Amino acid sequence: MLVEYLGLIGLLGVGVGTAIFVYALARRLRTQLAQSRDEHDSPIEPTSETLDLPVGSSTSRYFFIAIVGLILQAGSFYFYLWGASLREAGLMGLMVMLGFGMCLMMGVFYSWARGAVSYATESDDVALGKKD
Amino acid sequence: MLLGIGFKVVLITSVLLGVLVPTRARLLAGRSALPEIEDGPFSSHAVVGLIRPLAQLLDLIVIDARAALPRRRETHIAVAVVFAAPLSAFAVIPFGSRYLLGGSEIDLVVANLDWGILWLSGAAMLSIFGSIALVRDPEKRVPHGVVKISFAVGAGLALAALAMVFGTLCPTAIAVAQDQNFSIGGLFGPALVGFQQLQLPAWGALFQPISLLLYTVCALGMLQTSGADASDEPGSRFTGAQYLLVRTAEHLDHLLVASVVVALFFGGGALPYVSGSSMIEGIGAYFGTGLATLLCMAIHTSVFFVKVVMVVALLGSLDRRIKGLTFATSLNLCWKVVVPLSLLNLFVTAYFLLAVETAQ
Repeated sequence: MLVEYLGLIGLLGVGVGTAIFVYALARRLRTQLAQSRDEHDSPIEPTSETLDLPVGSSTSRYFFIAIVGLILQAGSFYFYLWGASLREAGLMGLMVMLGFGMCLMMGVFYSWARGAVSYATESDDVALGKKD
Repeated sequence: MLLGIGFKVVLITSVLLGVLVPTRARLLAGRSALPEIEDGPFSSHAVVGLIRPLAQLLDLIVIDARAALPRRRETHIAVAVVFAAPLSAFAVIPFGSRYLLGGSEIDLVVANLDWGILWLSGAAMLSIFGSIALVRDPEKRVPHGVVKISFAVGAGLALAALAMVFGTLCPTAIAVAQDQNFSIGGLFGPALVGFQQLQLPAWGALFQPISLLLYTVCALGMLQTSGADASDEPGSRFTGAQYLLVRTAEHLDHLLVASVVVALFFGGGALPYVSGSSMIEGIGAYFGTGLATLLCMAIHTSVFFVKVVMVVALLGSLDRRIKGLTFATSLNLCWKVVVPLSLLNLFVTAYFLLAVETAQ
């Protein structure tokens, strides 16, 4: 059974390995091209320039809903396990999970009541590139 | 055993990166998988045929960023995570069923894990965190993450309802269960004798249509904003290599959604009304069981990839509609419709399944 994990690790390794290979190849080719060219002819520009990023503005209004989302996402893992063993857990399991689900939904309803879902404004759409 | 796993890894990587990603790019975008760039040092040579795309690829990856992000190493890592996460999720997607060949069981899946569906959620979260790190403006990162996490919750709950129906978290077991038919003759009275023999394929889409709808909307919602902006082009913020990996990851994400839909809701590689065992039995009468099994594996694999391409094409218009949603609409859709409906679907399904079990 443990050998099954090798497939997962293998494909993960292929993904990371491909990225590293592409980076390494790009770096090597760039170095070789730079060496074989005069500096004036080179179309490759130096990378000293960096983006001027606005730092420090607050987006804390979204943290509330992000936290509720993460809790629900973590909670959904329990739903997976319960779903797979529904027949064994029986009616008692349903009652327990109903209680658990109601606790999670209280977070959702509370976020509605706080207006967390209604925070989004037109400026957010612009910020996310949804509008010009 | 190790050789078999290695073969599957190479096969799935080659098909994905060599066939499906370029196919999706051409199918939906109507253009090449590579961006239009001027001839560089490699493609300016008189190269023809198959070598030219390779030269263009090399030209792309040697482009350096004029305005790199301040933390360049972190960007490299985030890009690698965004690329590797969907690729690794394909490890648990069964592109066929389970076969008996030479006395041993063969599953057409890279990693036959009992908790495969959990890994799908885990890989999605990994990809989300990677894409959040790629967002250029810190002001945008949290809203970007909120949208993605919100849709991930809905997708997770939709898959939990499907796992409940099949009673397993193993995608291969779900694919095997779908390679059968179920009778709905009991729904019809004696007056409708013709319908009493009616059978339907035991596909997840028929057992859980609401889950299919919710999963599709949520999975596409998760992909509606990527870490890369539409205005990003090789050499602006990303290096050519990073750009290549990010754009490939976007295609991989969409292909993953289509593959999950096919594998868990549309029977994987199975043909409707033709189960794998009956196919092997039919072909085996002429060619022997061994060759029939190999043929069946080839047919199932081909059917799976054809279904994936069809689903990619079908989801194109829905994807465009979801991409057109505003941020406010996305949040409202997710928190006021999708999440409550997913939970309701989960509990109604559980109650129904337990009621049927008790009645039996």
